[in-house]
Amino acid sequence: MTGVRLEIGRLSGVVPDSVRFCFDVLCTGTSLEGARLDIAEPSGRARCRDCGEEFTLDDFILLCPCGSADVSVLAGRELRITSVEVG
Amino acid sequence: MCDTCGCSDSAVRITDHTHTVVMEQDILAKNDELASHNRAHLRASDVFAINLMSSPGAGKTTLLERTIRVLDTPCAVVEGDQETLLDAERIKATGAPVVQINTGAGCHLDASMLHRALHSLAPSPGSKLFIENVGNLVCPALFDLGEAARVVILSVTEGPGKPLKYPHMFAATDLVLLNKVDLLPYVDFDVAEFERDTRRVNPSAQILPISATRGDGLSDWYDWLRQPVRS
Repeated sequence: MTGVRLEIGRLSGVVPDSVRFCFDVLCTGTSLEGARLDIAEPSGRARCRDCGEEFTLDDFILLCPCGSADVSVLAGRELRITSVEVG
Repeated sequence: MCDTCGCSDSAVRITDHTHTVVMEQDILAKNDELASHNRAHLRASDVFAINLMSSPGAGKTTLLERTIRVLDTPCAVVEGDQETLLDAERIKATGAPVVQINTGAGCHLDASMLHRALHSLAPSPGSKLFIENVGNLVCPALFDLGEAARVVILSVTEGPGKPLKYPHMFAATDLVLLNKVDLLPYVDFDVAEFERDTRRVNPSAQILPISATRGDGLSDWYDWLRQPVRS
C-alpha cells in the first residue's frame, strides 16, 4: 500500500497530529511501511434551532452568532478511512 | 476494468500505476456495532445501564456505595480501572454483584469490554447497571458502550472551567452531578459559572449539585434514576 486517506473531523475528539506521530511507527514492518498519510480535517457545522442559521464551529462551544446555545451539530464528528492506495 | 489485476470493483479508481480503494469505513464502526448489540441485549433484559464518567477521585465509587444501599431496585456494577480490585471490593461489600475490568495501559472502557463483563455479570431483569468508567475526562467520551444514559461527575475540588476544557465529555452526557458541594465553603468554585460553562457545551444537560458523603441532593439523584431520560 502506498497511501492512506483519513477524515478526522474537528469535533471528533481525535488529534490528527497524534495520528501522524504514530503512523510511521505502527506501519514499520507492515505492508503500509513508507505509505503516505493524508488527513482531511472537515470543520464542524451546526444549525441553530432558534434562528435557523447554519454556521461553522471548530470547537465544542455550541454558540450561534445570534447568541443561542440551542444548536444541533450537523458535521465535524467524522472519523473514517476514506480510501487506501495500492501501488 | 483494471489493467493491472483485472479487477472490476467499482470502489477502485486507477491513477497511473496505483489503485485508490474507496473505503468510507468508520474507524469506530466495530465498537459502535458491538455497542448496539449491548444496547439491544440490555433493553431486552430490562436492564438500565448508566455510563458513569469522571476524573479520578471525583467520587464515583463513594456515590455508588451509597446509591446501592439506598435504592429500592437491584443494582449491578462494572468497575473499570487500570489496575487493582480495590473498587470492586468496596462495591462487593454493599452486596451488589460486581465485575472488575482492569484496562492495564488503557484509559477507557470500550463496547467489547462491556460485552465480556455482561456475560459474567448477567444483571437481573429490572436492575440498574452502573458502569464505572476509567477515571479520565478525555477518551471515555468517544466510546459508546451501549448504555442507556451517560452521567458525568465533577467535584468542586477540581476547580473551574472543566466543561470548557473537556468539552467532549460534557457535550456527550445526559446528566452532570456536581459532587462534594459540602466543601464549597473551603474552595474557590463558582456553581453558577460552572452551570453556565456546562450549558455552553451542552444546553440540554441536567445538573444536580450533590454530596455523596453528606447526602446533599441525593434524593434528586435517586429520583433521576427512577425516571431517567433514555438517550
